[in-house]
Amino acid sequence: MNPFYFGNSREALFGVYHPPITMGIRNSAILICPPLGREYIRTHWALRRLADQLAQGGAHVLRFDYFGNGDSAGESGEGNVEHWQNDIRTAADELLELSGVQKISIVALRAGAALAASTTDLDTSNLVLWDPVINGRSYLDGLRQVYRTKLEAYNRIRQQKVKETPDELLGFPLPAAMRSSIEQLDISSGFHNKADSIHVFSSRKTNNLSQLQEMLEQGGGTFHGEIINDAGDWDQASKVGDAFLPTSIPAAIAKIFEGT
Amino acid sequence: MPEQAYTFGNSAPLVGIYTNTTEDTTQNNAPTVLLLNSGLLHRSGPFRLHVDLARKLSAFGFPVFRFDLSGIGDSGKHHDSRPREEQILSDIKQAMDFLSARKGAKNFVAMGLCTGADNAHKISVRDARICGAVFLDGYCYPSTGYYLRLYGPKLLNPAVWWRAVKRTVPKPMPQNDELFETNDQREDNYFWKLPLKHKTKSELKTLVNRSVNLLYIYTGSNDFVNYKNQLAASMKSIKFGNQLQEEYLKDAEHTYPLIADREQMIDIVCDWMRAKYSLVL
Repeated sequence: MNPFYFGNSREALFGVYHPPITMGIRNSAILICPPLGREYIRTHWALRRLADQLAQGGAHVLRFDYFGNGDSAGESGEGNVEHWQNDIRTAADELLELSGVQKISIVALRAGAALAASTTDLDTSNLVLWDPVINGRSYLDGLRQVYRTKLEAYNRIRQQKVKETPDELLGFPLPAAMRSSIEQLDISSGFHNKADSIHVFSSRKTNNLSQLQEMLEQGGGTFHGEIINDAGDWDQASKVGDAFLPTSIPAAIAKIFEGT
Repeated sequence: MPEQAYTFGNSAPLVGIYTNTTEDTTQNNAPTVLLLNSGLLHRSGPFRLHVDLARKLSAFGFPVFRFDLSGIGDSGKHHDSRPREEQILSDIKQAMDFLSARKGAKNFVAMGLCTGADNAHKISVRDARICGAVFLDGYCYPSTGYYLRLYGPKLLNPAVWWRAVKRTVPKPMPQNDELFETNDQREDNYFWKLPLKHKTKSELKTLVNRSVNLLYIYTGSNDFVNYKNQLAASMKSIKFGNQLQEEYLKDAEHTYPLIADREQMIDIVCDWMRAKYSLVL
């Protein structure tokens, strides 16, 4: 694997390129779009393993960190949805150049899925959404609930109690501009990303899947949705610090690219 | 952005990010800070702590290298049968060798939280290129002051005395090492064990004799620390002089999930680095 910085040098993005290890599916190039904030940290290892698995199958794989996330430039309180969508386009261009293929595929997790599905000017082969965030406001509400539970636990032993503020969420700054842009993110009424084929994997039963299926089938696209019992627990305060070690959904994702 | 990504290492491919100083802050012979993984978290650290630390320290003239030990984050695994501790210490040595060859680094400050603190201690003892170390919730041992704070409030409570009188002869208090031999069996979430006190004492003496500067920052999450300067009080035979600084952030959580606590800790580290290693303050 090859770690490197790319894009605009003042707002450089960190990426890790996994070149194909076998000859299997050399024509596939897969961009992995991670979640944001705390979920990014929790899922890093799982996405690295998925990238290894896909490269082992013969694909070119690029993982990257959005601006203000992970090892990319920018402070944690910087960035917004528009910026991160731009980052996806920049990373997609980088992968096209690295791989030499005509069209990339995208595998995106949680908020990364909402960002990838809502990014314009992206022409992808397979768009794989894993436990996608459908609506930004509901997503933030869920995280806020987890944060409140955590804060109550911290305050039970603190001498100086901490008050909840809208500008902080689960260890990361969430300034008004960032918050507002995430709240407006909504993929329930349509995707901007033009994909030949859309796959949605959900680790638990949710209405989101049928909602997305209905919307996408009306649009005439190819859609495959599946509930696969696997690691997730995104809204459980007791689980947010645990390692995220999925097995079944990564295997299902790898299967999509077998023989492509 | 003055950050560069590297792969290095001759046994397992290791991945690290070097944060360079800017031209106006560069100091000759300033030590390079090595940020070590906390448990299984990759090099950006809990809540991106290592990224924030790297960028702040580099602004004060200290280059920083945050990297993944073998088998963690983006680094590869070793395919040999060495004990894990040997693999880790070899990874850190290889990081120093790499930075010496590529960047001309001569001296290093090892820093880490939890298992990172454990590894910072071990490499400091093992490698003379380490001139300073920062331990976030690192080793500490009970002192008289610790027991007074732990049991003092109870001893002033008549109800506690009455219950004690009613009980049979109480069990003897274990000696320090006995207590911690028992606690040795208790592993935290990230699987490191507190070494026996006499071993740590001997190693700290070695570090002090080697003029290594030591900064310990403890949080209230530790049940074996309950006041500032407890380490010095538990190691009275060591003449630390001004080589040891201890801080106790009672309200802070182990991984600093609240921004204000994290910023307070980062400020302490930056102030300490500047006080110890800046040529011009």
